[in-house]
Amino acid sequence: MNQKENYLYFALTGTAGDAANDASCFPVSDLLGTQVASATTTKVFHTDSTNLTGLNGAGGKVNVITLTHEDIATNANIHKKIAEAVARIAANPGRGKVLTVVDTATGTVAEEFEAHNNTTQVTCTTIAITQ
Amino acid sequence: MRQDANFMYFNMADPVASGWTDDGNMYRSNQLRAMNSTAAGGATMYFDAIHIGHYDAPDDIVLTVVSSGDDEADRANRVTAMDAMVSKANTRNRDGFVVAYSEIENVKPGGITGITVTLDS
Repeated sequence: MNQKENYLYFALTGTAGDAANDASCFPVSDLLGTQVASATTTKVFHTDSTNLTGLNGAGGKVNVITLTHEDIATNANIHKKIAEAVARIAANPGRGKVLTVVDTATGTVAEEFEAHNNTTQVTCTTIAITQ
Repeated sequence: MRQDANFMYFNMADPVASGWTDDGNMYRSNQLRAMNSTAAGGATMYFDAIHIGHYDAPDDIVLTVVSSGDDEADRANRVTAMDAMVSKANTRNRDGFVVAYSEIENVKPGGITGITVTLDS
């Protein structure tokens, strides 16, 4: 069966997408993974949108989204929970839709985050293209 | 698009007690390229250089297994560890997610006693 592809949508707080890289979306198939970045942040990696992923040395780039969440000191294993939520969102059946992961401008987060969202709202704090 | 692969999560230490970067990483399972033995008690998993994007500096995960001093036993230990990771890489479920190894959750399949994750190696 020929399936359509979903896109994952992220947006920063404030201007709701008025400025460059305030909001972005990426195809699910370009989701590469996540990485612990700090006690309260997790980085989400996507294939570079300017075709620079996979080049040698410093020429290889990726797109990096930073999600800010509860501190692991108060929520054990929070980074794994965030990673799992992102994977679950990506695993939604392809319907050719834009799936909101975190839209900080409107205070919207995907329902997959709800159980991990009680004390501190998950927010999107950085959208870095070609890093 | 429905995922053609699960995501594999690796936690190599309790981040509260250690550094942050690389302590918890998630990889797309179909980007696991190879595993090879590295020592009597070790094997290494190689992923596409997904987090940094440098093909000449891939991400790798060193698996530590029991080193017994007996070559055949060591071989069997390494194969058991590799087999466990292949099983994780081939897991398919509705969540698109599987914990491959976790110190925090004490998920240590295939006799693996520890891992070391290196990005952009």
